Amino acid sequence: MQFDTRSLWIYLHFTRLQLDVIEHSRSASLDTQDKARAIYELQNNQIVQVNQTAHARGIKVGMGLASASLLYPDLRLHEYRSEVETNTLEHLANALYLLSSDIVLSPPNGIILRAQNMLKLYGGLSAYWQVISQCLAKYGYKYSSAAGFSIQAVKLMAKQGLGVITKERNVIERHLQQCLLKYSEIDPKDIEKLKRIGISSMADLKPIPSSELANRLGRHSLAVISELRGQSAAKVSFFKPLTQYDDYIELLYDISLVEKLRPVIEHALHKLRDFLYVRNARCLHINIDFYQREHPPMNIPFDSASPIYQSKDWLSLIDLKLEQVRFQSPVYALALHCHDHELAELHHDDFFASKSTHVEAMSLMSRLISKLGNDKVSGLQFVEDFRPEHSSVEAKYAHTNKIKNINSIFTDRPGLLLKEPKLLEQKVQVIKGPERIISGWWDNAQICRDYYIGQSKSGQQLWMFKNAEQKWYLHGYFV
Amino acid sequence: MSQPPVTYAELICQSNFSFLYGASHPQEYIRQAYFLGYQAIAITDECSMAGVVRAFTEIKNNHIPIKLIVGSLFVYQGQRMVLLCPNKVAYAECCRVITNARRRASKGEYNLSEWDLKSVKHCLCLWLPSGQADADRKWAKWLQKHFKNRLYLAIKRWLTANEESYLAHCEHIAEHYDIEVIASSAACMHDPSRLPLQQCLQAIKQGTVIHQLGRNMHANAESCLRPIAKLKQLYPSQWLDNTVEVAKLCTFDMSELAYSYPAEVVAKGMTPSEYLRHLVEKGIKLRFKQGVSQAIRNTIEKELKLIQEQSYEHFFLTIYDIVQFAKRQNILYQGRGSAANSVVCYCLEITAVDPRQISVLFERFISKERDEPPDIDVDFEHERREEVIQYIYQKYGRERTALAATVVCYRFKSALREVGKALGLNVTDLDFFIQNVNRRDRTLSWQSQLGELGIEPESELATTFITLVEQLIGFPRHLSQHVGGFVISSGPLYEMVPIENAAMADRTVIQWDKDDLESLKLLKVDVLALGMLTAIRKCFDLLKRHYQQDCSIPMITRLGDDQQVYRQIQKADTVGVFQIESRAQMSMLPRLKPRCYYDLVVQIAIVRPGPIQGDMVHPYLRRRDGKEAVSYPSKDIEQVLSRTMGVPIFQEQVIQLAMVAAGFTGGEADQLRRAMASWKKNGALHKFRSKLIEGMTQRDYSEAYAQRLFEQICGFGEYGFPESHSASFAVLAYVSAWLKHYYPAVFYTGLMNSLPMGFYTPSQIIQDAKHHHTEVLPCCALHSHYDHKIILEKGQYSIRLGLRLVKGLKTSSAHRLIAAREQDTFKSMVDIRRVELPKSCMQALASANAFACFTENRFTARWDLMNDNASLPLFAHEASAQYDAQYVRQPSLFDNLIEDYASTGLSVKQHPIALLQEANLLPKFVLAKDLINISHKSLVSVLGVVSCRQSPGTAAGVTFITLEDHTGNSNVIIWQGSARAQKQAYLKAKILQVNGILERGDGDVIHVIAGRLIDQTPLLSKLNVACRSFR
Repeated sequence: MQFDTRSLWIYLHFTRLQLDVIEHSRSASLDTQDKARAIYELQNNQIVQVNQTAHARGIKVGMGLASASLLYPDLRLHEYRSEVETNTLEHLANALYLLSSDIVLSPPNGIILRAQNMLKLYGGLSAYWQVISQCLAKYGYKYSSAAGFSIQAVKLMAKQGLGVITKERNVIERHLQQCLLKYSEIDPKDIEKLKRIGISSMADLKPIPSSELANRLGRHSLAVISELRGQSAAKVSFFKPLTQYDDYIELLYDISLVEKLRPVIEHALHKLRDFLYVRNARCLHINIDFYQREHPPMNIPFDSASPIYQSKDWLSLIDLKLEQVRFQSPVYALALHCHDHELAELHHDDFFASKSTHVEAMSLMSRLISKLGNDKVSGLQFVEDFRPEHSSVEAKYAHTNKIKNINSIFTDRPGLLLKEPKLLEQKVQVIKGPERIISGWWDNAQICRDYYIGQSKSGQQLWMFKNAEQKWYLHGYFV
Repeated sequence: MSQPPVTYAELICQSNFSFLYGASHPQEYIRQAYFLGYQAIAITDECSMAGVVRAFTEIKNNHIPIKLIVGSLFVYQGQRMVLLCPNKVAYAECCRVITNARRRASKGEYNLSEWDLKSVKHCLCLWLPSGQADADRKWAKWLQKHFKNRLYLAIKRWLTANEESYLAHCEHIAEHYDIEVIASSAACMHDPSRLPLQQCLQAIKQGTVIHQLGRNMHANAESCLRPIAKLKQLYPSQWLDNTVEVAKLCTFDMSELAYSYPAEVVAKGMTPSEYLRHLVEKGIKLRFKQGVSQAIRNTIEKELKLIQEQSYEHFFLTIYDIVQFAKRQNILYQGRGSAANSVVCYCLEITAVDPRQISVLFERFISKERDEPPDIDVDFEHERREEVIQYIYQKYGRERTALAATVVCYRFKSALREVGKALGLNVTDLDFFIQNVNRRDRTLSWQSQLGELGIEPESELATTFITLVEQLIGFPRHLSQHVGGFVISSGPLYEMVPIENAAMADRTVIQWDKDDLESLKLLKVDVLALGMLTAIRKCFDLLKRHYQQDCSIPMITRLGDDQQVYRQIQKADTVGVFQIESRAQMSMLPRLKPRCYYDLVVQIAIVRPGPIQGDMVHPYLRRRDGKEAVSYPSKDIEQVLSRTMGVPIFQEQVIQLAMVAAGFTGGEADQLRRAMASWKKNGALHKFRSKLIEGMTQRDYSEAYAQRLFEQICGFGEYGFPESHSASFAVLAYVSAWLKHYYPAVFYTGLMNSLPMGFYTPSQIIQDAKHHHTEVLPCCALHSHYDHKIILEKGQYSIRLGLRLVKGLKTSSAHRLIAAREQDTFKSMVDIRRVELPKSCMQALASANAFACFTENRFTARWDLMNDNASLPLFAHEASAQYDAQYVRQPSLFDNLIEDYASTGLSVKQHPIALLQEANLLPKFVLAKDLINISHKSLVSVLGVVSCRQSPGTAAGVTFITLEDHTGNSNVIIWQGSARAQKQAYLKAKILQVNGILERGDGDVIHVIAGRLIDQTPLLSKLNVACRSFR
């Protein structure tokens, strides 16, 4: 949709969104908040966001990893993930949507509000801005803002931190003229070209007629300049509230104990509750991905027998299930997904009905599912490892893989393997061997054994081994 | 009757030269095989002979009574086979096969063909069947047909699952095709303890972590050298005996490889000796026009006799041939190295070191006792070395010429990273360790430092990690090409050593490095590149053009030591002077005060990590100033050390000391020299410790003295500088200082036309030129050439900067502009536009203000060039194309400064500090030129652009910073504490203010010892504002 150049816009520029998201998650206790912390973009090897403590230590945006760690070796680094910021923007837009109708997302870290059509409703810009800023204050994310009559102009002013919330055209114009072109969306090549002829600010650019620029700059840059000068308006498409819910929370530090994760999950559930609440919705099913440092993410589904939305209800279900969960390696982030929800139905409980609580509303079934898992059917999964104990693990049946080269792997291996080797207590005759296995020094489960195939007096073929201490053990039976 | 003892020879071993598979050094195999009582051992790396020389050297140096068999393993169509070389013909054959397979593939790979195997007529073949029944039957037939009785079936028993069926299969094939069976361990490690390392290598090779290797690794450590008793249990004794029978057939010894020199370097009808003498006599007439003194004649005779005894004539003649080519092509060169400092080399025009001036050096020509191969490196102009290389290829042919290899080994960082990745450690953690381990910290080993960085030193993972890193350090990683070491032979080189492709197109390298060549006494010719020679030649050309003066290096050295030149050197006025231009050299010059050529030789060698770490600098200075008595523990030592006042400064002196004071033999001294060269890499030096100390105490030297000497040797390490090289470098240092003193404009122009080289940027060189009252004119489209040039104006020579300085201007465009200008003088921008240079080049010239002659300023020039319409033909021919600059502002002084730096890297007109001072933005400080008036130990504040920031490893945490202002440079010393406490200013400041204490050292060297550091870089943005408002 294209607007005329009389609409008043407000731009919210979240200067360090990912960092704020991390620092405001519930895992941030007081003692860690004042640690020097920065967001690092691996691709360009540069720091993109810093907190105040880091800033005081001389860490600046744009710095490389080497200089940053040289300046302050204890700097805590988090990798930049644009999807975290985009995700957060959507959450913010959801919240703002209750207060302002026309919202444009400018990922990864900007939100544009069309203030013009709200002024009447709120009775003026200051009242409107008060409501908006109160809403934003709840989140505590740092932002800079600007009001103006062109989207490019408000973006430029907000990004440079020169914005004001006003609808006075001359005040806005004065601020805009001070802005540097390097913060604008003009093509960087053209910015460089202009810089090389001494034009680096809006004021420098002002005397030059568009006709003169037309032969010298690219089409995109000209369009941006035209918008900045209020000569044309941008086309935008407005934000529509989300129907699905996805949230990603990065932890301040790695957590391995389930109980330590509880406050973070609770925080995530609060956010889900708000989402559902404004939609008058409930849900039956949520998913949480636990991102583990050294292993693939662990996805755990949670189901409720009846639709619920309260965080405490979900938490009690989650608690039950998490009792059994052990992470393979510490968790550094989690993601909560809720892709299906339904409208809440009104329940009419009379005074005399037995007390109905949410806990009671849940059927025994859902507790059992939560307690025992969706499918209790499990099978053995083959792992390529020389060590017999490690060559198979128990896994959900659906996840077990099919083995290639079954012949080469299982020739001379018994059909029945004992869970634990036991001392060999009978006389046997060695038929084949030895097969020597020295393996596993890397995970503290080293074995050093000579395996033999033997035959007992009864003719049973046995798989047995001798260890480094020359003790004999029985480890399996050939069928 | 007792049974005869079982004997065994291991015929298949892959050392770590089978990269990322073999887990032991060739030397380790030799020692282990000897320890286990093997009759013989074969080193059979995969399509490579790179490891065999190491094994051969190990046997030779330590007189180990074990037979070395040479061979190589190949994998072809899933079959593994080993070719062993029973005699020299077979060896040449094997080298040819490897060369063919390697040359067909890209660097590091090989591609064997069936033809290669068919053509093998002398090598023995050990075949390791694959276990695939059909394929093995086919191959058994094929190999039987081509190898007949030279074929053996090698059976390895690694105690793996299903081994019995494999054994039965092999035995069946052997019986059916009547192939003799031999036993083998097919070793990839010398000892079972290397299993974790081998598995790690496997993970590195497959780019995975060790716990994900699954079954793609060895199940146990049986692929090692195993005790004979154990082998006896595993194999029938016949198979073991067969190995010894095969070993007996192999009589080839690496020492049989005699180098045959290219015959064409000797004139027809003459013996090499006669021809060399003939050339020397011719050279005497050229070099000693007034006749040769008896003393020099005697030296020449002595040298020629020695050359004849050692049969080194061809070596000298080959180098003579190469330098004569360079001379014909007018390429400047200079020889260096122990043999280069001979009168013979002077006469053959290999060096320009005049023996009459420095006769002291000629005592130390190649000596039989030291048993070293002759060493001559020849440096050529860096821009023209390729011509010399092409000449060598052309003259001797590619079959007979190749570069020596350099074995690139795992060093600390690469080993830590690779092992860490294989163990599944986080890559960012590894980067963190690598960045934060200070390898220069001599008090804390890296192992302990890792503990401080967060690795639990007691944990099992940490112990394994550290052990594996320790083991991997020094392992060869791949072969690379030596900087310029050529091997030239009379016949095809691939019959002596395999040749493979280098990364560079059309370059081939042999599989041996310089140590291997030395061990086999093969000679290589070093053809190296040196920037200073380019600069000097360009200076000579300029002198001829502008001063009509024919100059050459020998001409300048013949003039004798010029005290005016030395006075300039003593003042450390040596920016751009070869070898003595670094900050460290400069601070030593006023203390050492070189007065003659030999002082320069010492000066160049003394400011090196070796002498500094070995604590030799201060004793030398004290003794030279007469503040400390010179004493020698014995006459022998006096003989070695008297020329450097009893302090060992040169690498040769250390070697000589080991010989005269500790009784090292020539061979041992040579090993010591090599251990010194690489002891940081493999720590081989420590095994000489007890020998040296015992040797010296037996000869009545005190143990403390011996201990100190050993520490000095360690300190010297790989950084000790040989006198023979220093002597040649000193010539170039003197020549460049002489040029700088007498012809500064020529010197700076020649130097800047040879960049990149040396320590300084064009900006720093221009500053220095200005301080020497040489005017520098900016780039100009009307007057500049591509190179910088000298122009005579008002009776004085100035430098006109060339277009080569303009960033973003293509060389071809610059030449086109100049050519067009020569045809028709440019009268306006319209003329220049007609040349139709690419837009980006025109913009670059505009930014460099090269159009200043036609346009008001660089902004308007660029603005005009930005207009796409103006470049259309219709407009381009309109004479009225005037510059409508109403929209563009005038650049301020600051704008010009910034643009100057952005477009050319220097500013002829402005200096930032001068501008800041004019704008009254600077606090009170002392300019560089005024520091001389400040007294010792007084508080002082200096300020300037940080032009150099060095923290040499030898200076224990000290950083040297050079601050440049428009009057000169101030030298600042920052102690580690100050730097740490003020990290931000220390690391990031571009303009730095230092408040500190001025110190005058020996020779009036002025330093400011930093106290407070203030980052004044933000002043630049203030300057921007100030300049604009001023406008």
